[in-house]
Amino acid sequence: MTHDELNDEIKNRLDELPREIQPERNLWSDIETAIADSKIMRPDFKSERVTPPAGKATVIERAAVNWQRVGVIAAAAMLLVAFSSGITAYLVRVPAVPADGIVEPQRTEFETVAWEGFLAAERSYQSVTDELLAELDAQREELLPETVEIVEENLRLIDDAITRAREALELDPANTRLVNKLTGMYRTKVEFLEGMSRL
Amino acid sequence: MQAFATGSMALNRAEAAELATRAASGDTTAFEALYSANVGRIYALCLRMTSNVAEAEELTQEAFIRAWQKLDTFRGTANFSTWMHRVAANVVLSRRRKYARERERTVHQEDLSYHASVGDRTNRSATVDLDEAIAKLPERAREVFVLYDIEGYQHQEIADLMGIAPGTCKAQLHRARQLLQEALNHDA
Repeated sequence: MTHDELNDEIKNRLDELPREIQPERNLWSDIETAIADSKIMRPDFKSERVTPPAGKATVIERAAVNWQRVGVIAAAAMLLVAFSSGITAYLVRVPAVPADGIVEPQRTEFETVAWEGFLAAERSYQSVTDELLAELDAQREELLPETVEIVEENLRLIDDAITRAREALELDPANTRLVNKLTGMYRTKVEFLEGMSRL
Repeated sequence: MQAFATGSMALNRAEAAELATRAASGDTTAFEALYSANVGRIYALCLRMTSNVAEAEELTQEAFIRAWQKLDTFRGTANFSTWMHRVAANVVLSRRRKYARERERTVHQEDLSYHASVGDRTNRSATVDLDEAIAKLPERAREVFVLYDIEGYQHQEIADLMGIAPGTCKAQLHRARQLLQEALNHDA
């Protein structure tokens, strides 16, 4: 049987087959979150390095020295992310809803404890990132405008993604997928800042 | 590969190319418009290739994420929908090759969620029967049938995508058509 010999019945049915099927749920939000993460760029400091006049450091070299402090803070932030991951693991153990649909009373309590734990971790994280951002701000004048622009754009993208995931998690605090997503975003932010410190 | 008319969100070639250019420079709104215009076809491809709703949803998302990452390789010489379709086919086939061993263990299990999805369509009739029969085909035969008879790929294109010989592709198509004919005759 060749393509031309395709059974008429099948051929007729193929012609009627819809070329498009819409998914039953919205797939865009996850895609949007993922592409926001993938838009993060790494400024190429080395390409901007110039030979300084004798006895004087370049802007970038001065920045590199000052940014050593960033590495210390980023390391602290990593510890907090590890703690957030612990919360994730904790939430993953939330017992599933029984087949009969009856939710055990202790699950609500469990959720409450987990949510408060998550908030505590998040507060600590935000405190560290605030300090880190203040450090970056202090260096702002010493960095090339293009570098500042890239850093700010990246941080804006990460923060937007965190905000969206955070809002969704608030509505559904036991959603482990969201917790994982949010933790991943925090990790992305820390890794970005850590990357800055290594430059 | 032949081009099919798209649905209500259809974009002409110039519009799609412009949106792709904007998306390549980081405009997520433009990319969302491309998503809206193409998601129906991409999801249909993923669903028919996998016969599994959850897997099809995941693969659809992965295909669009991959497309976003590769937008700078889209030159505008082809229709965006054709290019997007090729990206999706690659995503589906590479993912399924990766998990081939796991799937072999469950290949005979009928995915009821797929049939529920198909059955929910308003135009439930012969096309639904055909979709159900396609879903029951052996995996490789189904993939070749979907790509050749539904999506309009040529044997050489399918062979390249799947990493098989064109002759194998033709044999799988022949097998798929025979099985479909038997299934439809049996149901009649």
